[in-house]
Amino acid sequence: MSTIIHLALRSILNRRVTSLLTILAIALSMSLLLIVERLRTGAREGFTGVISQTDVIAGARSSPIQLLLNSVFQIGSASNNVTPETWEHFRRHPAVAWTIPVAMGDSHKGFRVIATNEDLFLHYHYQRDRRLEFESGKPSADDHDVVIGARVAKELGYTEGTKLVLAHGLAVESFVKHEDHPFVISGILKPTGTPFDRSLFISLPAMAQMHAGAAEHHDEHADNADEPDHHRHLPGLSAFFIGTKSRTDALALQREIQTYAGEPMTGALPGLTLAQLWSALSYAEEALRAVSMLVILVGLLSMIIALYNSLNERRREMAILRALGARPWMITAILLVEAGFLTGVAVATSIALTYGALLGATGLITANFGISLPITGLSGEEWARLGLMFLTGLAMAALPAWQAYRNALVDGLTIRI
Amino acid sequence: MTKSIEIESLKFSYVGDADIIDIDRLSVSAGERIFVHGPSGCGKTTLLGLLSGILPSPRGSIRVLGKDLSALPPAERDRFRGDHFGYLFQMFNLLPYLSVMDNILLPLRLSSSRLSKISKSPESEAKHLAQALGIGHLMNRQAPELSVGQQQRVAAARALIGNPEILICDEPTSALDHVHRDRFLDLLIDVAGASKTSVIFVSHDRSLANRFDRSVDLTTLNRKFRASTGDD
Repeated sequence: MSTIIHLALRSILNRRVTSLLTILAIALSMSLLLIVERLRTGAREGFTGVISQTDVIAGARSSPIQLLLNSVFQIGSASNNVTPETWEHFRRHPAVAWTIPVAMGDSHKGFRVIATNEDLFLHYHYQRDRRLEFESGKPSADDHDVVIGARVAKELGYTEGTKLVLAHGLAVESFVKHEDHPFVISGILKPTGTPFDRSLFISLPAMAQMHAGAAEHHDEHADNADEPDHHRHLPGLSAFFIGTKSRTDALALQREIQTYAGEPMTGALPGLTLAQLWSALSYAEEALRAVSMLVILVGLLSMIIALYNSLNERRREMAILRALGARPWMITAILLVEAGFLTGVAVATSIALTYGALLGATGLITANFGISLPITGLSGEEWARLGLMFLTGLAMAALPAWQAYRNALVDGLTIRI
Repeated sequence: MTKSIEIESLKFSYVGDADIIDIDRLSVSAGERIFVHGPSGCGKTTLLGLLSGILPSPRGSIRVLGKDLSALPPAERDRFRGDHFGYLFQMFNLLPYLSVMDNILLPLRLSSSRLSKISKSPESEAKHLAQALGIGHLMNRQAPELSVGQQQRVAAARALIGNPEILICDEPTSALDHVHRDRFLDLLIDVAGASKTSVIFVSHDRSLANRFDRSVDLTTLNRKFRASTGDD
């Protein structure tokens, strides 16, 4: 056995350049898969972690996915608003611990404006237990204060104290601006990797005032002005997030929202709906995975090709070894040991490459895509995957090894040139 | 005198073919050097394959060092070859990725019985043989860096390390020019003689025959060849 290993290693060293290139090809393909898998996991965690600890999202009648897309991802717009009375009803509900109101409909240079209250900073969690934190400044103190997300600040170059005017509607260049109600930036949030990075936050009364002032221009907001006295400073809500006192109440509460007699409503369980949404996107994930599998196959094939190319040269080697008393399987074993060594070193190299890439790019990826890639040790699944690739390499090498065995039997002591 | 090789009414054919070997008698004494000559196609390669135990069970009897080769399973024949034979090819004798030293040491790695037959350390034994063959200064070179003549000497050292009883030479000089051929043969016969190794030397070049104890014409020895050419 030691002779076989000795010969295999000598043979590899003799073909240094080819061996190095082969190892590199396999290692690159393997680390591609590792990185893709990490990105995938990171993307999924980022996606499903966009809202945590919120048990139910309530909004006007639509579908849970639509409600989630609208209220959390800020995609599309709510079909209808929920009245402040309904919100009032549910925030006083015995099962409800807290709520976060969300009213949308205005924008600033393409970024959405969310009217909410201080409960957002208290109760909104993402990535399990993280809260919105201030990079600088503080929450809105009065109706002319606005808090902006990290991305907004970065792209528009805003700082604390910058004055700005909001636009009605969601278009980038809106014709109708709320110029009579200017805002001053009171705080800037730290980056979160959630859609809130691209949002501006104002108070609910601010929104109501803004629209009351603009009401003469647009009739659709006239109803705000007609509201009863105690709700005069509250606009209609796009949605409100609910935290229950006990998580077991969430399902019953959702049911209650769906059947609420006051107005037609939808209740979404965010965890469930996020999972549904993600699985709807999973075909892209699968495609990505399939591509990286194919890349690995190509990497391993390059090794098999290199081994096949060496077979003719080895026919001589085999005759020599057989003349020295070697059994025909010995050349097979040498080939397999070589393949094992090449893939083994490739596995180790791929781990190094992966961590190198993670260390080098994690900041960039987090900043640009909001995907966090923690530098953690290899998971059991990743080890299993590497092990599988190693075995696949060996299995594929069995082909040229078997060919070598047949050559050995046919050639005997004849030296083929 | 003990026999190292005894062949009696040996017949061999490849599967599905007619006999290509039919030898009535051939015996080689221990330490004897015989020269086997004949044109290509007279069964040289097959005879060497049978002697070295590469080819499977022939009909008739082939005894090497008192052992009936046809009675041994393939694995045993391979081991037997490694333990008792040195083998010299026409060319490309060396593993290109090993140094001269490692090439010479190879038989000792593959056969424990040959390792046990040397009294010195493997390296000094290899050096000793290499010096006797005039290649002592090349020990750390890689095989492809050597001339053909040097390669054949390395191959000879490898074939003879660990004192095998039988040395088979399959036209080892045909790639050498006259001067190198003569020097190589002198050295080979010297070193083989020192270890009392029987030599079976196959060549089509009859001018070499006078260096050997005995000369065998394979065209007469192999009745099959005689028969097939006699018919023409």
